[in-house]
Amino acid sequence: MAVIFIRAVILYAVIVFAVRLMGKRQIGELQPSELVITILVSNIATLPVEDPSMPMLMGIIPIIVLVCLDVIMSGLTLKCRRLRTIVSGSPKIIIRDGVIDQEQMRVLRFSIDDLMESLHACNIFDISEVQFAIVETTGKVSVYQKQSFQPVSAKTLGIGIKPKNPPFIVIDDGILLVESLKSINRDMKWLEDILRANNVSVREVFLLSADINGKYTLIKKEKKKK
Amino acid sequence: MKRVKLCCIILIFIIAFSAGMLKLIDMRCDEMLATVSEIEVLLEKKETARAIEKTDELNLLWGKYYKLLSCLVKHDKLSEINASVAKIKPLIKSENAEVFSELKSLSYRFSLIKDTEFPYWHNIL
Repeated sequence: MAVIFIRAVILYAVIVFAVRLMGKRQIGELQPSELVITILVSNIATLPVEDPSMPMLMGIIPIIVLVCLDVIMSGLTLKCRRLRTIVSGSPKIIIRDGVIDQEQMRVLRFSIDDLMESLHACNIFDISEVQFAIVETTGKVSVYQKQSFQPVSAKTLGIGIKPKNPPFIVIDDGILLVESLKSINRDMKWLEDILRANNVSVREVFLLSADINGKYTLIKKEKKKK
Repeated sequence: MKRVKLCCIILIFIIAFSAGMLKLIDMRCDEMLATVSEIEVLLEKKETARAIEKTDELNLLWGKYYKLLSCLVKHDKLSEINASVAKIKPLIKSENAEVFSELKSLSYRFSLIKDTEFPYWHNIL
């Protein structure tokens, strides 16, 4: 039992390391090669835990090798566009100027239901509103609406708006984030003034967010109900 | 690119580690095979006392290598060897003729470990 427990802990650490090694891209969107790696790694990881007669190294080494090969391959595909096309495929246009490319849909084995589902996710219910719909290499459909159907923006109305950064979290559940203070060009004195004005200490703040203009939102911690 | 370099280094390390471990398995198995054949020769010459001494040596060697091999080889292969090694001394003491077949099977099992761990085509495919 103890052996299985220790093995599970070690494998957990190895897989976390392996996923970190693959990078953030892995978590959000899966390329074909990354999907294969994810399935393989999850299967291999269970083997040494299920079978105590199998040395741990027989589980760890293939996981590390697979992840390293995947990272090296993605490094190579960055440099070589042709290799990238071979490994990940290329994006395909399935709607052009409101007209569905049926041949491309057949090639991609993409049903009309799949297409409509993707369009609905983008709040589009009429194909004629679509200028371009592209099936990305991850299988996700990206849609570009015709200009006349696009939501009105400040730019289309000709209104000049200064670019503005979103507010940063300065205190997170009683913990001061010094980096955020630097990002909004403020110092400790500014923070102390705000805290004094609201009659609280850092520990008593649940959330303090502020933008570069010094506009802030402060939420005090609620006292625990007995 | 830092990640790619790190992965290259890890891969090189794993390749070097695997090669080193193969060499180690090869050396240890050869050592065990040599000791087993020495016991066989001594038994053929009817030098039972020396054969028992050599068997003790074999037990000691096996005790030492078992831990190392269990990190690299599937345990069921090793437990078969464990059973064989344990049988040899009592068989020699009781002058049982079965000892020769047991030594033969022990040699075969060590050769099998070497054979299955090396990346020959038949193992890979």
